[in-house]
Amino acid sequence: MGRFWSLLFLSVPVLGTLCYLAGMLTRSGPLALWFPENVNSMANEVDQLHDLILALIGIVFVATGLVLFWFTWKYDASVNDQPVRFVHGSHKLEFWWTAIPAVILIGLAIYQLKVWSDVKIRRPMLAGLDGQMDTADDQPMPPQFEVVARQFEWRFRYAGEDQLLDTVDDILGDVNELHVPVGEIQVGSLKAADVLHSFFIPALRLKSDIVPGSQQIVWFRADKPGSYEIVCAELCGWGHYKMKGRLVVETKDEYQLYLQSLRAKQYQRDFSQPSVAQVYERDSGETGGSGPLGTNLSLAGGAQ
Amino acid sequence: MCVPAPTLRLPSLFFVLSTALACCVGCDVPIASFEPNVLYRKRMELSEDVKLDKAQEDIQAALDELFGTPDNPKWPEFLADDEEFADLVALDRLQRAAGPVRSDEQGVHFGLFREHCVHCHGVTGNGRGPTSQFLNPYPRDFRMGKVKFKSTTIGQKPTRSDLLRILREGVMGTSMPSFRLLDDEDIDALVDYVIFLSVRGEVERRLIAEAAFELDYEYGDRLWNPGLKESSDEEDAEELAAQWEVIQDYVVEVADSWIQAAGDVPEIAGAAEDYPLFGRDNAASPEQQARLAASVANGRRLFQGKVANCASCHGATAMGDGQANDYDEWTKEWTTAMGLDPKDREDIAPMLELGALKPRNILPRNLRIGVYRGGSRPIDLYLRIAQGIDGTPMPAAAMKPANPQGMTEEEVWDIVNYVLSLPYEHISQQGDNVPPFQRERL
Repeated sequence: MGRFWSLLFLSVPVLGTLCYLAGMLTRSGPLALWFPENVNSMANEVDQLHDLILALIGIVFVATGLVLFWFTWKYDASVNDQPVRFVHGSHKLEFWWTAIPAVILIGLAIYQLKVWSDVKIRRPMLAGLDGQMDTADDQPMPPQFEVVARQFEWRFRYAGEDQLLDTVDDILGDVNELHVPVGEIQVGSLKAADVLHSFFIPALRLKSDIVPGSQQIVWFRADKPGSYEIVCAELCGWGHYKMKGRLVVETKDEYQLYLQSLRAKQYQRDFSQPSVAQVYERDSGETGGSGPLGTNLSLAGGAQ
Repeated sequence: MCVPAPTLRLPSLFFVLSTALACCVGCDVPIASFEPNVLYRKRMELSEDVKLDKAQEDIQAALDELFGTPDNPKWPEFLADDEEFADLVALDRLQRAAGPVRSDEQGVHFGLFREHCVHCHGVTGNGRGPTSQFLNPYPRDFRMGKVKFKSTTIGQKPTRSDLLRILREGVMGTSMPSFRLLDDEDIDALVDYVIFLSVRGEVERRLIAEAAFELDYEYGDRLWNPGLKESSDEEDAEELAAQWEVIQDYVVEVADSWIQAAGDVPEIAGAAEDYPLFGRDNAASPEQQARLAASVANGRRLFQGKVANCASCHGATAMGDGQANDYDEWTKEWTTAMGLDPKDREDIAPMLELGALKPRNILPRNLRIGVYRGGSRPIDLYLRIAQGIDGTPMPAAAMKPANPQGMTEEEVWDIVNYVLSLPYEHISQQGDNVPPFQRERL
C-alpha cells in the first residue's frame, strides 16, 4: 500500500477546496443553489460577516489538511526507516499558533460588534414628541405583530389600527402565515407557549430563540415581495420538523387588504352552511381558492 | 496444516452489529388489529354483572369483518353501496390515511394517521397513544362519537366542516396543533379516517352493550358466530343472517347519525349589521360606543344572573374558579356513572390497569386570558354559549322561543361582548363583578 493512506489524507484539503469553490460559485448569481437571497436590508452586513468567517475557516481547514498530509507522506513507514524519537516540542511554534488564532478571534469579536448590535440590540426608534429623530425623547418602535410559537405551529396577531399590541383592536392572524408590507421597518414580538423554539427566516437573516415566559423583539425591513419560509431552528419536540410557516411580503395595499379580510373573518356574525361552513368545504382547492371572505385559507394551494 | 481460526476483532464486531441494527430500524411490524375497548367492556361487566370475555371474541370478529385492520381498513360493504354513506367515508381517502407511512412515485402521501395523529390519539383512536399521558388535556377518544367544538347541537355529531376546521386551525390551549400545511387532500383523508374510527368505536360500544343487555352467553347465545359460515345447514345460515342483521342495524344507525348532523346545523343569522361588537367597534362613532358599553354591561348582568348562570362555574370573577370538581363524560362514564370515586385510588385501580388514563378534573375556562379552545372569533364564543360544549359540564344556553324563560340571540351576543372584554379589564377594577350579596359582606 505504501503511501496510499497519506494520499487519502490529501483528498481532505483537495475536496475541501473543491467544495469551497463550488459553494462560492453557486452562492449567488445565475448558478445560485443553496444560499437564499437576503431580502432584509437591515441585515446586509450579516452576509459579509458570513463570507468573511467562511473564508477564514476555509483557509484554516485546508491548511490543517495539507499539514496533516505532509506529515503522513514524509514519515510513512515505507520510506522512513528512522526509529521513533521523542521531541519535546517548540515553544516558538506554540506561541504563534496560539497567538494568531487569538488575534483573529478577538478581531472578529470586535469587528462584528456593530452588526450584532444593529441586528439584535439597537431597536429601531420612532421620533419622540418633538418630531425629530436622534433626540432624547425618541421612543423604541412598538411591535406591529406578535408571534406565539407552540408545538408545532406559529400563531400571529397584528397590532390593528392603533399600532399597539394587546389592545382591543388586535387582529387575529392565520396560523402559520405572516404578512408584512414591503420596504417598511417591521418590529415583532416573539413569545413561546410551551417550550423553547427558535424563529428563523433564512431569507431575512433573522433568527431568534424564544424562551417561554419572556418576550423577544426582532426587526427587519423586507425589500422584495414574495413568499419566504419560516422555520423553527430549535429542536422543540417530535414534530419540530414540520413546524413551518410562510412569510408573505406584499405591497402596502395588499397588506391592508389582507388585514381587512382577517378582520372580516374575525368579526363575522352570521353562521350558516353557505357562509362559514363553505370555507371549510371539501374542495376548497377549487371553490375556496379565495373563499367567500376573500382570503386564501389553503397554504398549499396558494404559494407565491 | 491447520488454518488459523479467524480472530473476532471488536471493531469489526461492532461494525457488523451496528449495520444489522441500522437495517432493522424502520422495519414496520404490521398492526394486526385494532385494540379492543376493554375499558368499556369492564364497565359493562361491572355494572350489569355479566361475563363478556366470550362475547369479546365475537365482537372482535364482527368488527374485523366490518372495518378491517389498521393496515387494511374497510368501510362496510352495505354502507359503501349507499351513495350518502359512501361519501361520508370514501374508500380511497380511507386507504390514504391508513397503513404504514409511505408515499408513491407521484408524491402522494399514505399512512397519514400514523404519521401525524397516532402518537397521541392511538391506533384505534382511543386517545391513548404513547404521548397521551403527558398531555393536558388528554387527547380525544374518538370512540364515543362525541366532539367538543362543533356547530351542531349537543348530542349531535359534528359536521365535516367542523372537523376540517379543527384540523386546519388546531385547538389553542391544548396540544392539538394546526395541520394547515398539509395538502387539502391529505386533511380530507384524515377527516374520513377520524369519522371511520369514530363510527367503528361507537359500533363496538353498541355491540358490547348488546352483548351485556340482550345476550346470555351462558345459554349459548352468540352475537356473531363466523363458524356457522362453514355449515351447510339451512338453519345455521338463517341464524347467521339474523346475527348479521342485528350488527348491520347498529352500524347503519351510527353512520346515519353522522349524515343527520350535516342537516342539523343551526342557521344563525346574527344580530343586525349595526349591532356593536367588542373589538371591532371600540373606536366607532360615540353612539356605537355607547351601545357597546350598554351591551357589555348587559352581558355582565346576564353572566352573573340566574338564566345564563355562567358565574356558577366560571366564577364571579370569570377566572374559571366557580367549581373545579367536575369531570368530562369520557371520564365520568367509567367512574362516577358506575359509583367509582375518581379520587379514590383503590376504586379506580382496576380501570387504570386496563389502560384508563388517570382522571383529571375538567376546569371551567379562565375567561381573562383570552385563549379560547373552540376559536377566538366572536362567532365561536357565540356557538359555545348557545350550543354548549358536548361531553363537558358546559350546557347549551336556554334560548327563546323554545324556552320562554331563556335568552334571545341578542342577549347571547351581549354575553359574547362581555366575555371578549374580560381580558382587557384590569383585575383590580372588577368591583362590579362581585355579586351583590358578597359585596354587602365585604
